[in-house]
Amino acid sequence: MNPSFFALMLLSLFIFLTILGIPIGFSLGISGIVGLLLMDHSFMMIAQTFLGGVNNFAYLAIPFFVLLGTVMEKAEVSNQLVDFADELVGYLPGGLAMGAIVACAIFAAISGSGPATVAAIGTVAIPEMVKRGYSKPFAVGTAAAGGILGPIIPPSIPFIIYGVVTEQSIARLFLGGLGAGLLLALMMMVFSFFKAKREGVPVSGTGPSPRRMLRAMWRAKLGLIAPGVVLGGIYAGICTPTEAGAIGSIYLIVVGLFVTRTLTLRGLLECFGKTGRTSAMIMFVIGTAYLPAWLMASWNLPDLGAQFILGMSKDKHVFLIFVNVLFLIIGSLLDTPAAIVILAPILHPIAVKLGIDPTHFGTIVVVNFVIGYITPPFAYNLFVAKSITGMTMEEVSMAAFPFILLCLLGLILITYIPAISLLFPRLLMP
Amino acid sequence: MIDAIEKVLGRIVAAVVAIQGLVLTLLIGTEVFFRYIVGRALSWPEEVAGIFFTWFTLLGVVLLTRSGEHIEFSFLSQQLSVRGARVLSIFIQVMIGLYALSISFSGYTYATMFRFENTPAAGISSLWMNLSLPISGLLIVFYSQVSILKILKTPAKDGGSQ
Repeated sequence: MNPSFFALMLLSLFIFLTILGIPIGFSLGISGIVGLLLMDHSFMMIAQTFLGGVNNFAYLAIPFFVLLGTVMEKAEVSNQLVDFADELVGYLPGGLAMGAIVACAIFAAISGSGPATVAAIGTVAIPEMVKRGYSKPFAVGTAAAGGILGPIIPPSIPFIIYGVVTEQSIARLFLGGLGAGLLLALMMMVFSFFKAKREGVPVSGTGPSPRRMLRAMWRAKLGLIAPGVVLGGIYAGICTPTEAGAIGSIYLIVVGLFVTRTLTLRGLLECFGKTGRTSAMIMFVIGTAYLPAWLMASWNLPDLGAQFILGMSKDKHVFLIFVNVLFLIIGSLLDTPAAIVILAPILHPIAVKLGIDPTHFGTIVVVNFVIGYITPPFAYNLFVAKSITGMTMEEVSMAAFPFILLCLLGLILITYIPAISLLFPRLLMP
Repeated sequence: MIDAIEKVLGRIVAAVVAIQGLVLTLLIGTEVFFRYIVGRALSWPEEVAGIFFTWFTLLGVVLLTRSGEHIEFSFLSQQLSVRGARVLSIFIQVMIGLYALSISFSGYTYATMFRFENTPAAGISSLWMNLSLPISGLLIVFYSQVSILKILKTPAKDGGSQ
């Protein structure tokens, strides 16, 4: 039977099981088992692909970057970050919205998770924005969209998965994400400026004050040092992303326990417990996705896919349009780790064959999937924003809509201007 | 009785996961400390961390199954009647249990087949890592059954089955 038919059948089964409400990891696993049975492969492949997939030292970075975000939240460092960001840009129209985006970008440089960024910054920024005259949808949209910077600005969980699956340098991919993340942050800030002006949001009357800014920076110093510890360690060549995650976590734990004293031993164990559950959520999906990915490889689908796509067009711009449309649809339907594990091995070799830089392509893939974090139905950031505000999913989705359009514009720029994602890799890792 | 067992088991698993998280952080911290401060690279922390990480992940999945925190799409169950949603919830738990049973069986076969293999640097038996799958699988089966019992015990508001 045609392998493409099998792949489509498994995909349909996966979608059906997911719609029924079976958790994504289990839906992937069950679809994989059905594939194994149909093709008469050994049942042991379930264990072999899962354990072989999960047991990769680079993936160990995932719990550490989740832990960083969790400890940061528990150690109450996010409040000072929002204050500092507010002092930086708060005096401009839409200043607090811009401040929330800056705070998201700083938090993103510590944690690799989108929902964690929304939870940490949104909890502080949304009520404050509403209090200062912003409409609730504007505040919610800003925090949810700002949260997508979490998995784009390094460290980033999707980039780790992409790097492992395609055997690319994770450190270089992180730098690709830095350019893309900064561009998106800038676009969101400009948008907030004009939106606040149009909505007539009152401007803070105090104006800029270097003294207050320095004071706020001093108060936020412990949080601001964390990205330096994590990213400095990686790019100074001192440690791998996994080790940087562990060192950053130890730094924040010491700060929380002994400096700010906002973290107790019980709180610390809670952080580890929460990290265990959150990273298990991600790792289980990754582990179970290795079976369908292995089945697709055994059916030679990457080669068939390459022949099919290259048969349609050998123009890399056409290929990128195809990839963007495909990933945007899949990103809003499928969980990001699973989508990367299954699709990246198929599309990455084609991109390289067409002369697209692997870092550039990796950045496009991750930005695409991360936009899915604010695109219903599988919109993790919106779920978090919903739980913070008590708004309905429809209201939160409408609030995020202008930001989705903005991110799509950003994606077009990132896709067709490779310099955006290649600037930092060329500067720091030539 | 079942309630008490699942609570105690849940607390034990949660404590093990939290401690494993702490150990993982310390292991990797130790690796970097020895390489840069002591000037001697250790090879075993990475291997031991790999074993802990697999357990950390799979026991985390057990906790997620217990608390129902897995990533899932609940749109369909929200559209159904209370009775329909209960039937669907039971079906979902049956599927979770069946899958967990499969990984348990497959994991056990895999673990026994490679039981004589050791890690290259520390020489630790691969059984320590490979047994994580059958054991966690059985725990997931247990919690999926507990969930079914809980669903059956909860009275259906629209006059559905008890």
